[in-house]
Amino acid sequence: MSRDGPDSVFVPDIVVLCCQRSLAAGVAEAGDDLGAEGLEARLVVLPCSSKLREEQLLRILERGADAVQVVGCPEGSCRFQVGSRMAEKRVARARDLLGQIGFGEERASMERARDMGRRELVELAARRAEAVGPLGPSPMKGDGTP
Amino acid sequence: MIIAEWKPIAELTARLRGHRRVLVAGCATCVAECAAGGEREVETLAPLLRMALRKEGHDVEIVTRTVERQCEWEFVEELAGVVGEVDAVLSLACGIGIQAVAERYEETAVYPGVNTTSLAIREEPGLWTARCAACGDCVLAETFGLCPIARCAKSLLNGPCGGTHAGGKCEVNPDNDCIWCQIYERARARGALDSLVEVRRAKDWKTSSHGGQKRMVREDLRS
Repeated sequence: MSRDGPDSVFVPDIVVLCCQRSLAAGVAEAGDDLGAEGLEARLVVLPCSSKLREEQLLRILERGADAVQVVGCPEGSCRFQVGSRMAEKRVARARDLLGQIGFGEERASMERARDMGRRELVELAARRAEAVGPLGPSPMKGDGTP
Repeated sequence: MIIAEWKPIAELTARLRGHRRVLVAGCATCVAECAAGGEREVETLAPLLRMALRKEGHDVEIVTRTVERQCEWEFVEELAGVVGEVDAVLSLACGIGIQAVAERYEETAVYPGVNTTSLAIREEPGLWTARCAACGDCVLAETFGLCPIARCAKSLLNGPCGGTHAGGKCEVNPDNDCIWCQIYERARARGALDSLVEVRRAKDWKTSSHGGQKRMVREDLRS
């Protein structure tokens, strides 16, 4: 988690949910820490991006993450044909709901990619961190919700 | 099935402000089928409400339960323990379920989380359309199994009206098929167009929503 005192620099905490088939070989086994300077990020590997449901995405944000970045396969290369398309629609709905409650649509996003190495994942998380920077830390930080 | 859709989240949070502990209660039957009030929707709405209320500075604890049917007393009874620990219930059941919970737990504030909209069928994933208006005097035998009460914008018994668009679409909502065009096509396919020439007399609406609460009594089933 990344909020310190009121004068501290905001270091966004990003959760990257990535389809296993969007990753380059060996990345999943190299650990879940995607942190870099000015960024806290964790990788969670999914069997398919379509396994993600809106309620899971919202629960991650409820527990204090500043943003969730979903990664699914490009159109036409999903092993389950429509998996990444379903994920895209779910992320779109989650963004709409987050907008309705004034939490910020940018706290959820989806990207389609293949052969993501560690460097590309960190860059993607950094872009998401930059997008949520203006929103500031999640109001749920330190909530302790089980 | 009975279909419903979430009320605006701002309306829900406005209801819940000031409460200490709230139960979001789902129903695993009709409203689960239409993706409005089943367990999945309960578990989606709950974190949203927690986040929305926290952002507004309100400290409201939200707990969740989903029962098989909120319209049957034995399932409503399953909520007894948790309702005793909260000061409000947000029910995602249809209007029947919401009233059953409110009747069983009349000392607790019970709010609707959804607007119940119609009796509908799932045409395809993500699309539900009304098929029955529960008018109490079914005309489907005369209209080849297609209901003009629920599916015609004007509930015409002698259609179609003069406003049907080319391609058989409704003039009120072009997303909808003109049901009287479909009735005509089905009658023609059955070689029964003559039956449509007969004038159907004005419907007796006293079996519908007029005349107060509907009651159905079966003495043979009463205890």
